[in-house]
Amino acid sequence: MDFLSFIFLITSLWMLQTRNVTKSVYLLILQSLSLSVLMIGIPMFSSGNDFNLFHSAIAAILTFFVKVVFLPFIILRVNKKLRSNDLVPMNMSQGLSLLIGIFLIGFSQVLNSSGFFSTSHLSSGYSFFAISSILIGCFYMLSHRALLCQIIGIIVMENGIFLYSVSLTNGMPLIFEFGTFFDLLVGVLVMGIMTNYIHGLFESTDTENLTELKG
Amino acid sequence: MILLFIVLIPIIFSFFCILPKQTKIIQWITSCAIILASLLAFISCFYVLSSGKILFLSNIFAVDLLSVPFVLVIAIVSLICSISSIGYVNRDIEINEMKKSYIKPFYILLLLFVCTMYLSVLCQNLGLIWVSIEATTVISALLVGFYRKRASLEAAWKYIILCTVGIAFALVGLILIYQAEQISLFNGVETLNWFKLISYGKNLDPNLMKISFIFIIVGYGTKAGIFPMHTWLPDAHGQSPAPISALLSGVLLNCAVYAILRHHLLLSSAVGSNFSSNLLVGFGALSMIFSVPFILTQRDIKRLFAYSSVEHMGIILIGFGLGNFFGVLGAMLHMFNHSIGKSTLFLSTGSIVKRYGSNNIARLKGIGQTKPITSIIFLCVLLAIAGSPPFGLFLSETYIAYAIFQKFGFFPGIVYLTLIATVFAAFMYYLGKMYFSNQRPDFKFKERIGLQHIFLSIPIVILIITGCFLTPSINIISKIVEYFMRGI
Repeated sequence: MDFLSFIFLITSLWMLQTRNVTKSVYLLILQSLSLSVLMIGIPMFSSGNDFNLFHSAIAAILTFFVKVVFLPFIILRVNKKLRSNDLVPMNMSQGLSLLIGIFLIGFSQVLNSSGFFSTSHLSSGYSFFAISSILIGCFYMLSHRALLCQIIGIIVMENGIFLYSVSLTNGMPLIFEFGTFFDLLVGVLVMGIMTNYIHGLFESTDTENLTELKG
Repeated sequence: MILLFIVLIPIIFSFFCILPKQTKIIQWITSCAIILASLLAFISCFYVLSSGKILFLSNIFAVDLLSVPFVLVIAIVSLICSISSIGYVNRDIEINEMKKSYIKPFYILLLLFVCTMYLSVLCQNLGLIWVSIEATTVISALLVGFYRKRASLEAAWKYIILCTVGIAFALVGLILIYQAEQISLFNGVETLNWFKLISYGKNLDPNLMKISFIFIIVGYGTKAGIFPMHTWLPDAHGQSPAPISALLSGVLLNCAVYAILRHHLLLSSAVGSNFSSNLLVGFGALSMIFSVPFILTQRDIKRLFAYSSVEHMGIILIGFGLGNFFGVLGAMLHMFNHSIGKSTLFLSTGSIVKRYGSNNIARLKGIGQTKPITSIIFLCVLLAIAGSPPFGLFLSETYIAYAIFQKFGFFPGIVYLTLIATVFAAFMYYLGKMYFSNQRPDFKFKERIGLQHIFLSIPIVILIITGCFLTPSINIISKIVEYFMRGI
């Protein structure tokens, strides 16, 4: 499990210095794949006799199909349709972006271990990886200026939140998990459609173009 | 069963919209669906007012006294918007703003949007409320960018990204609540069921609950347009078609407030109401204070009303945060009045703006001469939203002012009244510029009275009734307020 958590974290960090959408999607697939194994592995090792195989297996299968298969497929398809092989414009250099990512991981460790919120229930062995991924996902959206990167950033954040949920609670109620996966799937589909429209009008997917509305 | 039908009817009728090709039939189907859903919503509200609550499907669907005002608002505003949208869509097609092929997706999305909003106030499972509110974002984003112009797509993109990220924080809050539930139940059957959670509220870990509420207010606050998470709101309201702006401002913001209130009650039962009340008052005050400069310097009329929504959400949060009788009463009435008034204001503004071809306030001269009937409706609802008597918003703002004086004393009360007076003065200034200026000489236009004018007059009557005849002594109102206050 520790190795998978490490892969989970390294993939998000690696994304920060990648300027290619396709490469970022492959890293996302790797991260989601490790998440889907963690979704079943963490409850199995932490809950002992209370382990609910059915619940964890459904959550892991859903994660696999939605986050490893469908969402990357949608993003890669949109990217192919846009025929954009250019490097993603960034708000800072790749090195600085990576450095900030490492700083965010350190910050997550401080948050996780210091009892910052004066309650012991906020952290578990895996919550450090989850918090790091949430923060890195947020930062990825800020540092990369392409529309598709913002979608990827949201999925990285969601991956972090799902890892956090499984590390603290061994998984949320199934009906809720179904709902969140459905929302995420439709949400990414809608964002994909919008990326297409925006590219059609602006002839670019650089978020720098979206600054007309102010005040 | 009735609750399930309220949600299912818009979905089923949206499938019926797929087949026909004629615009009129699609509009007719949509109107029928909304009328039916509203009718069922009214019936369920009356039933709840007489019997207390409705539960259905293992308590997944539930309407209690807290849901009633929210369900009523959705029913009334969606009814007005769907029927008024017929005129707007036809005009958009006439002036080539909307292609004929867009009509079908527009109405299908409208029905699904209404369905998700109903779902978010009819569920009492906190997880499903989150799912429904996220679903409203996904569907309404397509409606915000419906004109597919540069500005509208920019607004839609900002809207979906900001709200999705914002609401992800609410998800973290939910995880913490679920963990608190698991700990207190010693690994029993946990469901995020609000009624269950509130019944053993005192056993929930207080620190976890407090932290979860911070995430919740940031997450749902983004959706409710609370400062400083409001940045999507002026863009989305300004760029979407008028009926969608009306729904966004009139209903969607309330759905997020509804979620915040459920969590506020939950936290109050776990740790007492001080922590969440202070946060509500704090965010409410910030929203009021920081929206005023934008209102004073605004040039775009739809953005002006969007910032006014930020201010009104602030007033509502302050009212609920105060927690005393007049505060809660004022907030409930204000939420209802604001929804009815603001949606009508957006609809009448949409009609005027289409005629002038500009959102710029400086260009909207002589609206009283150009569109005499619509502009009278516009004038009335603008006065109502500005907080002028005899409309309901005057009364609700006064109740909240009274509650502030009661709880915090003189100085905060004066600050609140000053902010309200400033916004009122700004609105009167803009009204004078638009209504009492001379019409452009090349702009002769006579308006005939139509069905949409009659429909848009109904909210004005409702606002006058709530302003003149709704007193705290009316049984139904005091029942709802006391139900809320019992929880805090």
